[in-house]
Amino acid sequence: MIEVKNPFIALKKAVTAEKTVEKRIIRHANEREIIEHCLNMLSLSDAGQELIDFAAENDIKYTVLRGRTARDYAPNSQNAYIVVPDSMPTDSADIVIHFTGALKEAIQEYEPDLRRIGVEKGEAVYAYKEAEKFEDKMLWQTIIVYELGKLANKSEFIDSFAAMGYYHLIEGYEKDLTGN
Amino acid sequence: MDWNRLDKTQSQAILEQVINAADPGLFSRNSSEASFKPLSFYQDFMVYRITNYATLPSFSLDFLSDGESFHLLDGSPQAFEIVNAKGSLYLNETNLIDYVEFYLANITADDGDIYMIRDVRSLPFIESLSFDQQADLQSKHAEPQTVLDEETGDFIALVDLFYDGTLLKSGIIVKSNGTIDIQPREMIMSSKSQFVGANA
Repeated sequence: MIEVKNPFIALKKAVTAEKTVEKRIIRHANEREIIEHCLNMLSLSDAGQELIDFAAENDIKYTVLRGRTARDYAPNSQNAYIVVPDSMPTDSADIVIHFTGALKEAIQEYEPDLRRIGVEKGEAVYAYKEAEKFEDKMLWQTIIVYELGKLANKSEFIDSFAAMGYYHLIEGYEKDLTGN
Repeated sequence: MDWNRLDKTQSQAILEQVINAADPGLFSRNSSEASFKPLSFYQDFMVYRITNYATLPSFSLDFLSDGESFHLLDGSPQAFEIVNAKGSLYLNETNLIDYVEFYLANITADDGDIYMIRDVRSLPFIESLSFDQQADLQSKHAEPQTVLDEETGDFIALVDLFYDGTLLKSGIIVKSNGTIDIQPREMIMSSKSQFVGANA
């Protein structure tokens, strides 16, 4: 059943400052809790565990930033960032999916074919490389969402990935696995 | 108003402050730069954007800053509260709408962003409406307007808003300390199905 919200009430509540005061400038107040949740979830997936092990071996750090919209970000081989709005529940499947993306992007810096390049080699080469990197990241996110959603029975991961517009990737991956 | 790029020296100075305060790995010195926009309603503060262009999509954080203290615009009203408490806010009939627009553009409500509508033609979903609906919307839309509540001394911005799939006429009470209180007055259009994807 779809809940119909009263926009008049929602708007009045929208700008009240009821949130607790954040002491640090950029880091999320529940950073540790979010990272622990992400690592716990990834450990339920073989592919996720593989990423965690690689990160541990190579000292890749995780950071959770406060922000307006959830997204992943990996500026280099040592740091994987996710941005999480204060209003988002810390155990959200979305966060784990973004965490996976950031971690895989950091790990790409250890893979010669996927390491980030500058535009010195030309825009076409740069765009091609970025497309390859994106495809690789999406593949890992798909596998992990599939393993968590279908094998570990955490359907919220499938729902979140579908809401992001990627359900077809789960279908495609499942088809590849089963040969149907 | 467009973003103004800081020169390399100024950009590095701002970057150093943010990097030191936040996290050394967040922005690389070589591939990041800072830009700013002056704000007509703040005497000492401007909005700064720090962007790392090394990644796709590029990664940005926005701050209210006087060059010394930095307050992340993270979707909550917190940065505004801190800066406004410093006495930098200067509101008048000329800049009130700018303040309301900037405020709404930088906070996120539980059901998403709140758009203040200055020009109906610039609405992101306008193309998804039929010509009749567009004409209807255009006829009902009014330019943002500022009035002074003489009893309380508060300004009121009369604006059209788009929030959670609904177009509303609203009165936004802006107190002298910058806090805002949205009072929706009338629905302009309410069918969410007309605006599917408008928040995407």
